[in-house]
Amino acid sequence: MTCDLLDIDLPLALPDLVETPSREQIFMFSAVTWNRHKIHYSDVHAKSEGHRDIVVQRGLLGNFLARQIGSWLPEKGHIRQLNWRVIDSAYPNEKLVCKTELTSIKQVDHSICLSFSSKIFAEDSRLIVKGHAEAELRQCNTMSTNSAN
Amino acid sequence: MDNPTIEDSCKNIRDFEFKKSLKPKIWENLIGHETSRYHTVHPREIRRFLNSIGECSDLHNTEKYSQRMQRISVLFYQTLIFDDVDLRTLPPDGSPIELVIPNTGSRSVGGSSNFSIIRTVIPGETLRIRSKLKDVYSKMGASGELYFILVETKIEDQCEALVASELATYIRRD
Repeated sequence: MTCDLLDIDLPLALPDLVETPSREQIFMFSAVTWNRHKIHYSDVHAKSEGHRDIVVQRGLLGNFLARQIGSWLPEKGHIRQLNWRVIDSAYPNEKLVCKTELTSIKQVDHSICLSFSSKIFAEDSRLIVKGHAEAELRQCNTMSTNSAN
Repeated sequence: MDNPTIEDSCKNIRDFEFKKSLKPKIWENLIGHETSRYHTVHPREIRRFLNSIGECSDLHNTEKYSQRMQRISVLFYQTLIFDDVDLRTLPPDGSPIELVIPNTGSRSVGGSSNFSIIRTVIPGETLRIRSKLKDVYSKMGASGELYFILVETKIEDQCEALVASELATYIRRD
């Protein structure tokens, strides 16, 4: 279903993205980003710093938000800005739920600028990440309104 | 052990004041330090990155791959942030080389990223990555002193046009 952007009631909840990062995924993300911080691959070191296990990278958490927003945006939409802050540590095999709302829509010249507010929660309700994103749609006035509801 | 003399006490106070004033000077000398390197983006790197973030199906289907590139390569730039310096030059906990700053604690907690993406990465292009220490400051937290290290990374194409940037805040403590 598509409709004019201006008809959308805000805030609009995007469909949740649920991810359960495995140890293998955390390892792969460290390898691919060349991140050699021991808390991401050595459980002995992570525990020595007070963590209960290896820690999910800040970058990987941000990427979950980028995937959630990116998969919701129409074809001509691009994320222009993504800011996120880690509030608490996330651990392997822990279910993480990304919750994002579209909070504002503005027409700027030939583009439409969208603002999003995001949070990632662990399954025990701990707040892991707070984030904010800006996306741009060029010469496009319709979009999917798939929401969480 | 003898009781400290007035001179000892004064010396301790002077040392404390000296250390307090010295820390910012050490940091001030490092703030603004910039490193620069070049990197040519290989399509295999992009596939590996997509795989690592959970986008692992049909990576060899050219059309779908291209669509994914448009959508989520925005954060592929993360793979370019950490410098490939010798492991022996990193802090003992293996955290990034930019965190080799005196008197800023031994372990990392939390932190944040502010990413701006100007355009999608193009496989095969050569990018210049410039990292700069923007600021270092401390704050007293509930469980001790926290050190905030701000690192700015700018990624430019061969025309020196900015394609992406990140302002990362690392938080360190003892």
